[in-house]
Amino acid sequence: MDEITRQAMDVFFRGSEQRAYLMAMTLTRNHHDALELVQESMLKLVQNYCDRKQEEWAPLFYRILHNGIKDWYRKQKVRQVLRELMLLRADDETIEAPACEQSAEHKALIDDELTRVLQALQQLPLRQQQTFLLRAWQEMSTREAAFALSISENSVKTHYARAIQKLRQLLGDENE
Amino acid sequence: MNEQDRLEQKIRQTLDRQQLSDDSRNALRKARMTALDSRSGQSVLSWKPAAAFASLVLIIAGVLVLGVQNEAEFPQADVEDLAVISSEDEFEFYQELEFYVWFDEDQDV
Repeated sequence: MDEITRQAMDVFFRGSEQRAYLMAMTLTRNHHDALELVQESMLKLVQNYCDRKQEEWAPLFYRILHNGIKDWYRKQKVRQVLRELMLLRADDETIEAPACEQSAEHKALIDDELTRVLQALQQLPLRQQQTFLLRAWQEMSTREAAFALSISENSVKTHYARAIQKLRQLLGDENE
Repeated sequence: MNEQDRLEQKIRQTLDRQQLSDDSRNALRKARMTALDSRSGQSVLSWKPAAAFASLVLIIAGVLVLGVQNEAEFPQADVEDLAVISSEDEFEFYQELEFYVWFDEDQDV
């Protein structure tokens, strides 16, 4: 990678890393896993796609990130099933589910309204959360979001409409 | 601005209010540098497969050259030798071939 590309990628990551981390944090609710997912996405983008046009970096970066988040969810589900099986077998032993892991400072920095929004988002299915965050927060077009999530544009529209409908139900009263 | 736009804007603004801790900022900066350096390191590492391939080519070339030289030193089988080897006649027949030629010529006379 030449110096110009390196500088351009550095600028791209500086502009994207915080939101990417917060997005991963919102979806995983785990500080360490969110950091790891962002770092992994950065590595993959640099190693595999630094030669691509700069305007392709953002959709590629978010595609890698969201694929990582999808895999993370799969692993969590497997762990959850295993944990439930273990709970069934262990009659007397108490096995606690891992708690939502946020850094202490992050907890201190979020206010009540933000907590309500995050809680509302977390009530949505993963695809709706991802679609909403990419479309509404990252301000991606339907096409870009479809690429990032590896789904069709029609699916993006459906997930987004359902997400809005649910969020309106959950946050609508406060919004009016 | 319709109701949906207002809701989106409100959520967007709320999410944007999140601030990262210094620890998280530092961790992200470190992740960024690691990612950027990984490619620089890889460009150096990419010489290794190339060097390995070049070595392999040299070894194969060496083996082929030596093989050709050895082949040149190996005595070439004559067509006559092949005829002898592949013949069903007794080997002694060929050892006494000169006698039979002489005998044959002598008979003609």
